[in-house]
Amino acid sequence: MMTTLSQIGGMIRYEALMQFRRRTLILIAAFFTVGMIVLNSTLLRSSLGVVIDVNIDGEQVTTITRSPSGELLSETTTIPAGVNFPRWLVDVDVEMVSNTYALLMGFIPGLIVLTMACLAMLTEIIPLDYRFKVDELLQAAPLSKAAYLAGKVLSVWLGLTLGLSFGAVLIVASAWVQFGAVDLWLTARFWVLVILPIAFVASGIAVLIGGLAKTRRAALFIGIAPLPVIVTYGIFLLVRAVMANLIFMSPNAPAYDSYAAASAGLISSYGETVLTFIAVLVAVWIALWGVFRVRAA
Amino acid sequence: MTWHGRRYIFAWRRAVMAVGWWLLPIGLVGMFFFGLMAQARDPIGQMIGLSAVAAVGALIGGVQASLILAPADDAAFEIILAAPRPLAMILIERLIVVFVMNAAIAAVGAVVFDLAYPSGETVIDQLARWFPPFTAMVGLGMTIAIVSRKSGMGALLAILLVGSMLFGGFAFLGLFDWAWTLHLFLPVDQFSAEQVFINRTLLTAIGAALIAYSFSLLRNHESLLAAHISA
Repeated sequence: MMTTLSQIGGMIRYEALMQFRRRTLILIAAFFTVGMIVLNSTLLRSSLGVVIDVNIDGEQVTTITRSPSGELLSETTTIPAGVNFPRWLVDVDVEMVSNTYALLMGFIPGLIVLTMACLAMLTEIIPLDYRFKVDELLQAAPLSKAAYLAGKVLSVWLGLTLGLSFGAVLIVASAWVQFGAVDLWLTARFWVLVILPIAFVASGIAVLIGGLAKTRRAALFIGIAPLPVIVTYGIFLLVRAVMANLIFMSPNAPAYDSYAAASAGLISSYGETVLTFIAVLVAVWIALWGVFRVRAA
Repeated sequence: MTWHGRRYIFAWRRAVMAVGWWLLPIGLVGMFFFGLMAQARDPIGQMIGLSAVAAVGALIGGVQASLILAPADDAAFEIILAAPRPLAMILIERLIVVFVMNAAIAAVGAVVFDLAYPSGETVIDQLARWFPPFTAMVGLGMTIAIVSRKSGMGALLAILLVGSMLFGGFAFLGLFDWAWTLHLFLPVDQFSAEQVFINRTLLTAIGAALIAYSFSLLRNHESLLAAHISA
């Protein structure tokens, strides 16, 4: 057991170093970070204003929105029947909540881009062992297929954690400077419980299915082939979670009596979506381990 | 054939294999599928609308172009560089294959799309929609694959650009006054004929310029071998 752990530890260390030198993970993290900053500062904020105050009188809701040009707009609407409007908004710093929700909403296209980048760029990791003939050495070494796959996947996860964490600091700092305060605790939870797991699932699947190919070119095909299905399914699940939690007038929004409860509900709603993805990763991992065992036999 | 003549021989079958010919029938199915979605009044199908042939064609063109030549993906690239056959011949033959095969698929796709979603647009109209973004994506895919030395990078950027223009193009148009000049799938019913002409001319010119630039990149063998990085 200790030998296996030591082997996995060694693989993680050296693979992570190798990936740092190949710059793929750096590129993915940089791509995501720059994309999110650009998206937040242009597309998202230019089309939507920021809600800075909410007053509720019975079923009438008056929202004060600051438009992208700085103009204050007041709008009174009636809460539609069957909609659980978040009445707790009157008790919180609405601008901070609005900023935080806009930031989190921006992560949805960001996550789709991140998934696509992982699938297109990370499938090459195992095929590169074939290309450089390292697989012949590995087959001669007392290294189990399970440890080999674990080392490959965990090394990518280590690199992504470092890269995306650095990116997270930059994205939040950029949002804070441009738009004002955001809820750091909710953003941090969202980062740890939603963004990182989805990045892990996408990168894990990419590394594992790439193992079916023996050349980089074939690995690229394998990586981009499932993109339409994964992206469509991912958009559907993630958008459903957003609609229910980040858009106030959504008919599917669950009822919460406080901001803390709404935050917890948001995270748990995404968590259920992420669990689906994790189940897919586990299935792919087991299948690929089986394929490697059969190939080696 | 003389030795000098053999330097300029084409390897068509290898070119067809190298650029992933099988992406084309998948694209054809995609065009038909988007037509059916639009006919069924599906929101995504309607958002893509008449741009389906152009979008799928540009996407496949960008991915195939990124497979034309990526130095890090070709084993023993030094041997390819040392061969008497000029490197530019690989680009020429594979570009011809990509353009001819995609033009055929786009023409068939226009017919198939019209069967699924009768719109009154002729094959020529659809080809006019398809050609500018296709050329731009081919140029982008080729250039990025050669500069980054990886086909994955070119394919990724092509996928992202086509996807973001298709689904976020309306936001792009609302954001900048000049966005219509660079929009890959300009909604022709919302712009004048002159604007559509300028948009298509500009996209084609950008694509052609990028293709020419990728040929110029082939002169720097040190860079293709990443000698400047490993030295």
